[in-house]
Amino acid sequence: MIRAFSAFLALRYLRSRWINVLGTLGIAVAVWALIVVIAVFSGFIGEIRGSIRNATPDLLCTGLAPGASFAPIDAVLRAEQDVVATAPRLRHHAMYFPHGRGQRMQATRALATNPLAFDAVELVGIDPAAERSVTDLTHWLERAAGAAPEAAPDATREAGVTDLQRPFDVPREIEEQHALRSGASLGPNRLLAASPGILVSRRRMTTSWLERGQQLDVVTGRFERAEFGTQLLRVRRGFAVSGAYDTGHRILDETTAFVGIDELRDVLGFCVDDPFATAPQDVVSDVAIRVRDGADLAAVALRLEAALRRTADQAMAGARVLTWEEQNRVYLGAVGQERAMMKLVLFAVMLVAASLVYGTQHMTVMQKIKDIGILSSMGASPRGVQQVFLLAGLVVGLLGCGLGVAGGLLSVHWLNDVNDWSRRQLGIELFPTELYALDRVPYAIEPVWVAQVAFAALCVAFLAAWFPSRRAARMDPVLALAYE
Amino acid sequence: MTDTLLAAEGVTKEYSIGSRTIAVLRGVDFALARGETVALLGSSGAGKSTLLHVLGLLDSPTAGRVAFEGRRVDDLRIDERARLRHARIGFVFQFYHLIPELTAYDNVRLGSMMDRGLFAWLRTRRALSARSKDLLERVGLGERTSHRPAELSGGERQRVAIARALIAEPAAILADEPTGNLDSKTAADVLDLLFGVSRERGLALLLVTHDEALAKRCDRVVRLHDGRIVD
Repeated sequence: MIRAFSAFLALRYLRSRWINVLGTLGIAVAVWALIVVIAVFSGFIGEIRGSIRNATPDLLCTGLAPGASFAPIDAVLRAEQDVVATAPRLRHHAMYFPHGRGQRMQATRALATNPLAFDAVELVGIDPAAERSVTDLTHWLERAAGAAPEAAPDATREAGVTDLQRPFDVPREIEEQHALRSGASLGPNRLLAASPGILVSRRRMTTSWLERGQQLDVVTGRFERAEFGTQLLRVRRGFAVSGAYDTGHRILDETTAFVGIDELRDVLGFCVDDPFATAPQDVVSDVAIRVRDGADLAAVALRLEAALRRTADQAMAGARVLTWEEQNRVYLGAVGQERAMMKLVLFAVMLVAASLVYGTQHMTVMQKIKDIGILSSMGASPRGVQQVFLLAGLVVGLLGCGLGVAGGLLSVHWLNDVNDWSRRQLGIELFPTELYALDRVPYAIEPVWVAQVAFAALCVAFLAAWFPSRRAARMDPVLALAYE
Repeated sequence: MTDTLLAAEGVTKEYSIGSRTIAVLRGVDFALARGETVALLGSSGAGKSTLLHVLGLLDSPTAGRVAFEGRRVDDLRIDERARLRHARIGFVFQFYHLIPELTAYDNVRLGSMMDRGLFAWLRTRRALSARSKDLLERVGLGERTSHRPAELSGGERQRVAIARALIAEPAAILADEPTGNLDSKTAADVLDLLFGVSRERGLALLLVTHDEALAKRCDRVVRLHDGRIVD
């Protein structure tokens, strides 16, 4: 029960002691920081998850044996009622460099041994028509095309593909135009062999100074059967940049280049046009899967995995089906961990605020020793005396909490306006959006988090006030009355 | 019901300072009857204030017992003693002991809040506030209700303290040298007030003092010397 005199005196003490504003402000700043920073962090995480989601199929069947054939796997996958579409994929690591640089490098030993002269990339072979049914391929191509109009003084500098339906096609005139402009030889008959297309990310196109139509030498290796076991065979194949894509997922964009799946099969020695080949012609390393909207991805993945392992086909024995979150588990986990660390760091601000509340309440108790004796002589119980200082601390916490929550929510609401104003008027960008390729500062207010912060602030204020209040309650009234 | 309101039987009070033990009260027997006024005389250090604190349940005896209305009370739990102190005993101190942040009115009103929960007090606050104002009128401070202690004279502060002691309608007032800090004219006025309200309300009054002349106004005089009652 709250004693009337405790509440009455707590408010009077607060009113007459402006030092309590310090505690209130401390709590308010801590709550404000916890709400604003975590809201922005959550916004960023939301953006990241969104971009990952857009760049990743619902499910990915992986862990297939080398040389696995798509057709039997596809049959198993499509037997699951929640699977809407599938698309074959073939992954292989490679390096590339603009055509002609290799010859120049041979002339200079230093350059030839410099690994930075190459760009490492994961080549992903896709079938555009099938891929479109499982991912947002068209949207990735449109995004890249629309994102770089200012950097397109001529056709070759455009980032977009010529035909969205056939993204690996490179119009011959563009390839020739680029070859002529770069001074490359077109051969004795001024004819250029048509090169298969390669899609690089818009980011890579910018950072590596690539242009549409530009010839790239892709170098990779594969094992081939030899007289005694296997031997490593170096493969070098020319591709022409057919355009750019932009999934929005920075890591994928910086590490991946797409080529036609048949081209990659050919590079890796799976002769797709050879009717006498022993290896399957539809070899895949992964299968991208789209499932029915609203289906439980984890449950479908488990069912598919079980179905694949039930078959007698050795190629599917080690197959795993990963949800889009599992495919990016490490990255998403790291981002989530960063947010958790940030919460921990910011909670230290709350502890500073708690020390302010403790300090001010302790000071009040020490200044009010005689009052404690007076109250005891009037019949106040130790619990009632304790309530005076506890309530004062709680009111400080409540006010600080209210101010912090209101300030935090308003700050988040006006975040982009404040950021724009600061950039225009002061030349300082509080949240550099360009760093993250964003046009606005993302934020997400999580009501549960706001409630948790508010509750924690009240608990902290309560605890900080509890220790001085306990001291007040334990005072000997006779000594307190005699205190000078 | 006995006629004795407050009684000390063989009360001893000792304080320990390091390895030394100092006996301030040594087997004190004392009784205060209803409506009786008693002066407790003694030199400094005789143990007058300590006896007052023990009788007022602010302090516990080392040995002996304290009874209120015939019931032993020194062994009550601390909150029960606080409740009894609030309801039945009023204190008046030499240095007034008012809360400096509060006005005269609020200092008196505070006394009505001690045994009530916040919501219970809010329901009855009109009546209790009116009572506080009446008491201030009674002690002659009807016009000074909104003044803080720092804005009042010594005599006025002591009147506020008396009004505060009366707010819970106690059965006894324990006054520890209530005029010790006042000039003779003001002291006389304050004493008149104390004896007046004691008579009006039938309150027992225990007055700790050095002043023989003042002591003679009481029904009985008890002398304390070196922790013992000497007559």
